[in-house]
Amino acid sequence: MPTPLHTPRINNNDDTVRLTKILVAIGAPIRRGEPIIDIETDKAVFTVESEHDGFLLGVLAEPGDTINVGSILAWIGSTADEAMPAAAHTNGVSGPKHGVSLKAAILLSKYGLDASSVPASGDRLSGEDVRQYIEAKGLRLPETAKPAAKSSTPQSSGRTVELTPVERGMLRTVEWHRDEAAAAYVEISYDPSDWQQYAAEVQKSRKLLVNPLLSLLAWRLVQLARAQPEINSTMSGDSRYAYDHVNLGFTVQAGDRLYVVVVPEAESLDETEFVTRLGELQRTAMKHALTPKQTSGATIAFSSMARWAVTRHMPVLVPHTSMMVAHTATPQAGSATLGATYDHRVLSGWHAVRVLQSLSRVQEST
Amino acid sequence: MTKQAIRAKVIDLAKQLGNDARKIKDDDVIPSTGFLDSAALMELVIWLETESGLAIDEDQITIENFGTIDAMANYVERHSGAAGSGA
Repeated sequence: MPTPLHTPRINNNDDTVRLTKILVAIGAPIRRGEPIIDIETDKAVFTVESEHDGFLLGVLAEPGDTINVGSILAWIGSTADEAMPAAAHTNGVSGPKHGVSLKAAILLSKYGLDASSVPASGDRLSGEDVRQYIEAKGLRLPETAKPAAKSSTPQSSGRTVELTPVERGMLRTVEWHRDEAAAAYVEISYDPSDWQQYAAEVQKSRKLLVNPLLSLLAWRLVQLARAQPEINSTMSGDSRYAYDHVNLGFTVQAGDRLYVVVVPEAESLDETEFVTRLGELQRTAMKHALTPKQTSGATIAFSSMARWAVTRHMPVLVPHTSMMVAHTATPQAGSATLGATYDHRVLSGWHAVRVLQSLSRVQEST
Repeated sequence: MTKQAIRAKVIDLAKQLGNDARKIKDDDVIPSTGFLDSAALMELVIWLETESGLAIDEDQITIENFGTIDAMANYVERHSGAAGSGA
C-alpha cells in the first residue's frame, strides 16, 4: 500500500515551501534516507529524504510550485506500478475505484480539487479527465505566494546561469528586504579599546586560539534582545510578532559563499557556551557542511566585514527580522563604528541607536 | 602531518592576507605574530582536521594545542597515533 510523504516545515514562520527540484525519476526505486525532492523557503533550502524503501510513485507538485506545509508531497509504493490513492489530496474522501494518474494528481493539487468531485472516464482518473473538468467549470488557478518580481531582459548578448541553492537563498533574502522591510540604517562611533581588552582577557583566561571579540559582541546582542523584546520582533500583518526566543544569526563568509548561521535559543546559553556553539557553527560553515536547521529561524542578526578592512557596510536584513548589527574595522586607534540596518516598521532610529550604544559598552556584559 | 606541511599552510594563509610568514619559527605563537586573523586561524584548524582525519572539538581549539607549529604537530601526533616527523 502506498505511503504518503508529507511536506516538512523548514521554518517556524513559513506555512508554504517551494518545490525546486525532483531528484528521482517517477517509478524509480528509492532507499530510506535517499534525497528525493529539493524544497526551499525565503530563508533556507532543504532536501526531503524518503522515509521508506520503495518506489517513487509520484510527486504532487512541479518545480516552481508553492505547496502547503503538511500536505502530501509524494507517494512511495512497494512496487513501481502501484497507483497513487485517490485520497492523495482529498483528506480521505473516496474517489475513483483504482486511483488517479500522476498528471491528474498534479492538476487536482494545483486547483485544490477533490478526486471524488471529478468524473473519471475509466476506472482510473486521468489527467485528461481533470483537464476537461477544469475547462468545463472555467476554473482558474488559486492564488498562491506572490511571484518574485521579474527582472528586465538584458540588452547585450550573454547566457543564463542557473543559481545555486545558496545563491537562491541570498536572492530570497534580498527580495524580502526590498519588498517587505522598510529598511533604514544608523551608525555610531565608539572607542573599541575596552572591548578589545575584554576579548583579549577572555582569550587569555580560556586559552583560546581564536580571539572571541566578534562572538562576545554577538553574545551581548543576544542579551540586549532578551532585555528589549521589540528588537527581537518582526511584522506579521498589521501586528508586531515578538519571538519567544533569541535565535542569533551570524554571517560567515566561507570562500565565495556567505552563510547566516543561527544559534537557536541563544538566551538560554551562558557566555562560554554561546562562544563555543558559535565557533562550532562557524567551522561547520567553513566546511560547507551546514544543515538547513543551522541556517534557519534567525530572529536578530550580527555581521562583520572588519576582516576586509571595511569601515562601513549596510547589511541586508535576514527575512522576518528587524535588526542586523554591522561591525566594522577600526580605521584608527580609539575610534570605530557600529551600524545597524533595521526595519522601520518595527523599530525607530532611537531604538536602533539605543541598542548600538549599549552594544558599544563592554561593562554591561560582564 | 609534518611540521613542514603545517608551516607551508601557515605561510599560504598569511600570503592570502598580504603577510609574509616565511620566517615563522616552529615555536612562534601564531596568533601573536599577526600573520593570521581569526578566520585564517579557523581555516588552519579545519585544514588540520581534513588532512589528519581528526574531528577536533571546539573546546580543544586552544593556544596550548594549536598555538604554534610545534603544538599542532604534537596534537595531531598524540591524537592520531601517527609517527609525525619534524622538518
